[in-house]
Amino acid sequence: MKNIVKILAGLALVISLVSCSADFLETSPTSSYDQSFIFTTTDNAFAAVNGIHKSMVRQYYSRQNIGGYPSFQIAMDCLGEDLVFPTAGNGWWTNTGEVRWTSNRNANGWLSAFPFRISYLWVSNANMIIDNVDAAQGPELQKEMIKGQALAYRGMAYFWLVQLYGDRYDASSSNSSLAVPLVVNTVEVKKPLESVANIYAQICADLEQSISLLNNPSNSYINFSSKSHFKAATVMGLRARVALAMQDWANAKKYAEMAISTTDATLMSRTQYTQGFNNADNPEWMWGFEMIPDQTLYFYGYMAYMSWNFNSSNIRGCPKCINNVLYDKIPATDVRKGLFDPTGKAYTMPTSSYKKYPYMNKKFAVADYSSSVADANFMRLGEMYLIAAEACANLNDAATAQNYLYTLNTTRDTGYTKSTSTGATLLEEIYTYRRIELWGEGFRFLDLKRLNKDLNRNGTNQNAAVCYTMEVPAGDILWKLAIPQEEIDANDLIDPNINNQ
Amino acid sequence: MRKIKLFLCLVAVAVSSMAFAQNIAVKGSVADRSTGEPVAFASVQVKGTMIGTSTDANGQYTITAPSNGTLVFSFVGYKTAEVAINGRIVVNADLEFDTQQLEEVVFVAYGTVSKKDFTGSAVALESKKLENRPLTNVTNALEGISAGVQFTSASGQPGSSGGIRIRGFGSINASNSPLYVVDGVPYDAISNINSDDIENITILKDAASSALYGSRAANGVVLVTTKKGRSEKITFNVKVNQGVSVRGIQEYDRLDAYQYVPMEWEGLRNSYLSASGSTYTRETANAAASANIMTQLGNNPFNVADGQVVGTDGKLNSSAKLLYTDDLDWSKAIARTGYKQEYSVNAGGATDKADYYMSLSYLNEEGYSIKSYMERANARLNINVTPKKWLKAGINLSGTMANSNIANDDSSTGYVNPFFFSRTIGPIYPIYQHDESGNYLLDANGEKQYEWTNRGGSAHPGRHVIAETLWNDNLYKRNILNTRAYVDITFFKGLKLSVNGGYDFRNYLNSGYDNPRVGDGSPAGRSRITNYRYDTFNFNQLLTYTNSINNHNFDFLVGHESYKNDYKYVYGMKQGIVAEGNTELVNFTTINSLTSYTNQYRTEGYIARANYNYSHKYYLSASFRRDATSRFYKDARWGNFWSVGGSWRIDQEAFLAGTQWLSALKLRASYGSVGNDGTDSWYSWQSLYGILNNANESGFIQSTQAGNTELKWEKNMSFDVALEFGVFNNRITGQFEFFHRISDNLLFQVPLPSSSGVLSQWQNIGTMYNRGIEVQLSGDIIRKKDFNWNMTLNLSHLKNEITKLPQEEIISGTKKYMVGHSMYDFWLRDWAGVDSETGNSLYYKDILDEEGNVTSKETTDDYTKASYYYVGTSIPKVYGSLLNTLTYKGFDLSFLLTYQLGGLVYDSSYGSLMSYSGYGSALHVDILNRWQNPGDITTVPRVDVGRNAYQNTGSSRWLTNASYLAIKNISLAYNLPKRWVEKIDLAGIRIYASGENIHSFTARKGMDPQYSFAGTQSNVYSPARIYTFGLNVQF
Repeated sequence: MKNIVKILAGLALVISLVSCSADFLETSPTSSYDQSFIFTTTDNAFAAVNGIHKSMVRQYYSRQNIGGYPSFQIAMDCLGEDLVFPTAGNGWWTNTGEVRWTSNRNANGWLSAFPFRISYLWVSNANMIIDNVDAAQGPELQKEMIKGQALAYRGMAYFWLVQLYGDRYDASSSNSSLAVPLVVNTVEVKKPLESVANIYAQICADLEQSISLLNNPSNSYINFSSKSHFKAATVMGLRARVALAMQDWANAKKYAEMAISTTDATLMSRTQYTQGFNNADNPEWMWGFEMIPDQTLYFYGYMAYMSWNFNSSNIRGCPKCINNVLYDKIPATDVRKGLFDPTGKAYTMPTSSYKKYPYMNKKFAVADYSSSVADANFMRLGEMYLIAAEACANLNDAATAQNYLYTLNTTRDTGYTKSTSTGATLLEEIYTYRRIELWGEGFRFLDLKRLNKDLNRNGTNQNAAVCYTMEVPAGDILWKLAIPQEEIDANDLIDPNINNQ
Repeated sequence: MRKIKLFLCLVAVAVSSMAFAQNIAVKGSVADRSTGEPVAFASVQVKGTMIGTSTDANGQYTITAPSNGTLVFSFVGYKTAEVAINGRIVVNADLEFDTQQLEEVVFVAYGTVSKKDFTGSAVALESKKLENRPLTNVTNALEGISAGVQFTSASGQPGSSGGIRIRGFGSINASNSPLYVVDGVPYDAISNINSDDIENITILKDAASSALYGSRAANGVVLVTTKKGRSEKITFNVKVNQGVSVRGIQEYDRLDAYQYVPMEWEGLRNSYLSASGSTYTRETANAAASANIMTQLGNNPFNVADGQVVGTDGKLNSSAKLLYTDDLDWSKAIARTGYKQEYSVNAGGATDKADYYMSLSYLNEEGYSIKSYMERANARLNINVTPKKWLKAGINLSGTMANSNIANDDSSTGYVNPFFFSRTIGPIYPIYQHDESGNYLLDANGEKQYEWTNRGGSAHPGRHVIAETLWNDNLYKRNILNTRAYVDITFFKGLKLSVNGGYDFRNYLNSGYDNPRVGDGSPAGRSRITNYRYDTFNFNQLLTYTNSINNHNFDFLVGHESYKNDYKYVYGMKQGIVAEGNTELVNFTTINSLTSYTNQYRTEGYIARANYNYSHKYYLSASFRRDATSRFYKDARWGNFWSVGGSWRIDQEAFLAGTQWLSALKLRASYGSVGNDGTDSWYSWQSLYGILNNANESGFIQSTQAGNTELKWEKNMSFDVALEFGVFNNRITGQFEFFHRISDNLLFQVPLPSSSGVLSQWQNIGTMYNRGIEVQLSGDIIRKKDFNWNMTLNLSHLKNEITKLPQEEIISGTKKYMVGHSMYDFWLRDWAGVDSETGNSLYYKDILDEEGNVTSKETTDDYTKASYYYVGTSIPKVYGSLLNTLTYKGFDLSFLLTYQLGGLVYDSSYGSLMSYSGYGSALHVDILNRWQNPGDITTVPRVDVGRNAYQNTGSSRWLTNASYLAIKNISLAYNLPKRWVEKIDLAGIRIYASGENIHSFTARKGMDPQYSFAGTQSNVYSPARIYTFGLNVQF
């Protein structure tokens, strides 16, 4: 009998514990979803578009100066001559090489890697949507809207890639030099480098298809209240930018004008101009990112480097200044002149630990100096007028160009009189106003590159001991970022010596 | 009772059969030779007969024996002693502690095995060796005890542990850490165990020993067994430790203020000249540098005006004197002498039906960096009962409560990192505010005020690590409960079922507060709470059968095991403090972050093992395990692991019976496979979209890691062969061991082209091996009655080589993985010295022909054009330890040295002190040797802030010899003589002193060659030197 007790006790123990239930080993995370779930419905697919929107402004790679698209913008001005770092600050953008032009060809550096990685992140997410949205359950019109968003992202991403990693587009040549891989679906994801011409062709096709999908007033899915979503006018604006880079003046004029007439944005007032460029409610913003407090980027944010008042080490030690030569070109009656302090003494800083330097800016501000939370501006109506003016001037339509410039500048400058210049003089005026209007918004390096101009920082308040590189001739290899080594290593379709040109 | 009767009958028979000898009654006591403590239950036997008895709880015995006979005294753990009676009626015996004997039992997977029957490779550390070495974290005691095991240093933060690698590096991207098993159940938080509770720690090195833990044993296993009650006499111990903690590794040598300012001037002057397109001449640059240097530096600590500190000749103004010399040393200001105190009590006892052990301890240890501390309380209760002969059950409960404030060294270059900040701030910045004549500026309350405004760009302007450390909090609260329970049912002799269960929970609450006055929290103030907890369950059911038939001894085991780990994370952060002094979230206005998630991990496995030996001479063992993990897709998650082992005790052979000098000789070998599923995520096989909301709209984003349904176990196949020997009555013992460990189906985080939008995917691609030799030699240099000196030398050599990769090469930080190279081979620009004409750093660069083939190399001063080369490895040629143990009467002295020969360290901390990317960061004294004028021959390039990236970029220049010799521990203990102690009715008193991390001899002051296996450096809480004094009273 004793044995029976033993055996029963033993069996009970074994049976109660020895077998795990069939799904014991099936686990899934609570902070992510399986890919298959995302494209079941159009609502979920639209959430995937929203993910790309959010990925525009986000902390990346635990690297404090990589906060998404705004970091592209900052880098573009660091590489120009109009944004002045009075000191090396705490090292971001200076020691890291952007201002100094010491990292452009470093294939193992972040300046090479981050625009590449992030652009392709947009491409890949867009490709997933483009390939899968048709099979999702939901209204056709919503699918059109979703696809229109994804195509705009893909075009936008390739536009960055080709401008940064490719040779300058030259309308008078074949543009056959190699730029970046062209990945346009989710099946063939490892691709060789494609020519500058073919990348631009893809960009134009994507943006034009996006415009045709989004420019549909009867599609109620496109009535976004948020400026982070693409509307037709925004994509037209992108298409105009692309045309400008291609010296395709006719299309630049066409799409800039389409954007101006399609958008519900209006040029902002002089008062609004001084409100810090931190709020998407500004009527001039066509495209931007709206940040809520619990999505703050802390020290990764645009305002952590470019604002005059956010309480970051970078800003306290190194306020961002304007090139004094450019400053001197701004008329005294222009609201834009008041965004800078040539004395370096005028501003009352939030605390005494902020350093002040001559020509420091007050253009960019956070609402509360304890928080870097701010909306991010990616496209404003003013730029459309400048594109239209530049295109018209190049098409030898001086009168129209003068009018566009006039419309824009009268909202900024109470004393502005319409230009009577033509030809090269008119173009120079437009270029100067473009520098003034878009200072700090991420255009200068690419403008110099597309216009094939030298970088020249001599004769300005640029400090040689800070920015190290004072001159770079147009066409130098430095105008093209190195293809990241990580891409070359992982992609055997790319010549390992591609950067050794 | 029946046994005693039978025994008495036997005694009667024996007595009657020895009619010729005169039997007398002999009595006496048996004591431990070193401590004088009575040895209870020792066996006392009349030599050559079956007459025997055992000592009582007080070590006393009586026996009837022939007056001319000999008594044999023996007890587990002691050397057997023979004493002739010689007609005496009182015969006392001292038993000598036998270290060989103590290792009799080896803790192995799911049980123990006698040392002589053990066929694997394991090294144990017993509680005895921990007694004189009060360590907050017991894993630190493992360093140096075994060949083939490599360590990194533990951080200075109280309670931290270093890294451990057993027999090389098993995986490139997956985990390389061993599996910790505490009382039979995997457990990840070994650092929370009170070292006083530990009976034994065993490192299982080869596959035969660890294969039964197949699932996660690829990197070896560390088995921890806690104490049980043992003797009928109740033991009661009280222990008190008091100690101090100071910096273990001294700071790098840096320039002082007088040397520093002219050097910064030179960096500025040279920048004006070297800028591309510069319009400066040497004269105008000199003048500009003299005029501007103090503006760049942001603070002038001298008694002369800004423009006059450094002349246009680059020399410091001869009348310049520092205004406040005593307020410039930040390294000193963040340091202190930490105080450590520990109190513990334990008690234990046993009867034949039950045993119990209980302990309680409290520890409070201050780190040597201001404000860092840990306070910990541990309690343990271990009870085992045997209500029926066939039924045994037990429970082992332990609880830990710990509070700490952690010095923030998460980021090597974080402003809140006190080690980074104090190391890199220039020597001209005061801690407190001063007026123009150098006096402290006091506030309204007469207190000194911190200064954080007047700084150069690279001197962390607006930040103040001392104020921030004191005003901020980084508090951790840990609550840990471990539960182990088991039931053993013996169906009949030899067949036993064991069911073991373990439930652990670990709860961590991190409260971070950043003050509103200075730092990351400024000006609003912010607070964050992170709460995470692990709930782990482990169950196993084991059936064992043991039997011996004639000389055939065998045992079998079959079993099943399941493991479940649930992780729950909650995080919230708010800013905008309402009233200072309250760091709870309710006292803040704006939510910056609020999130939570849960992760789950499961494994399940089936186990089988067979051991066989013939006559304790020839041994064979085999095991098999089939395991599944939730980290892999259902079709790929099961893996099979197995091992075979054998050993031959040559010393048992008849042909060696006459060799007196040979005490032991054993040859053993094993081969087996174990698995690794240690990927970075618990969901590595899945293709995921993360939640990424766009403001208040729901959003998803593709993971940058692609899923892989074919992902399966990484497999380690280890071969091991060893020769163990003992000669001259085991006076010299040793073992030579060779291992070859192949890691196949390497879990590899394969980089994908970043143009695919996905950065990596876990794949099973790649093969690597670790091959090595381990030597352990131990000898009693002196072996006398009262004096013993034992020396043990460990020596290991390791070769690590990758033999297969998913792509031709993968670059990872300062390393490149490539077939034919180790995973720790440095891949860097190769620095070619300084151009004596220009003072520029030179780097080697390949010259390519038209096909892109390398034809030769040249030098360049443009680092972006430099080629990369293999320039050495972090893996040492030889590493090991030397342990000396001396005992003299009641004294024990031991000292442990560890060493490494060869290998390189990439000393990035030194590199940053030799760089000058801006103005205001500290400089290493080596920079005094910089190039100054054409023709200078030196190894330090021109100081030029603008060209810093070109002069000082990452290259072979920062590689430094990693060889070291470290005095890890010295401890001295004294056991008060028994006769004194007994007078005050105590069982024993021991006093001891111990020092940890006493000194390291390295190639450069400041560098820690043991910081990482990869040979990197970081600005971290470097190891502490701790001196402890203790008292142990046994009742």
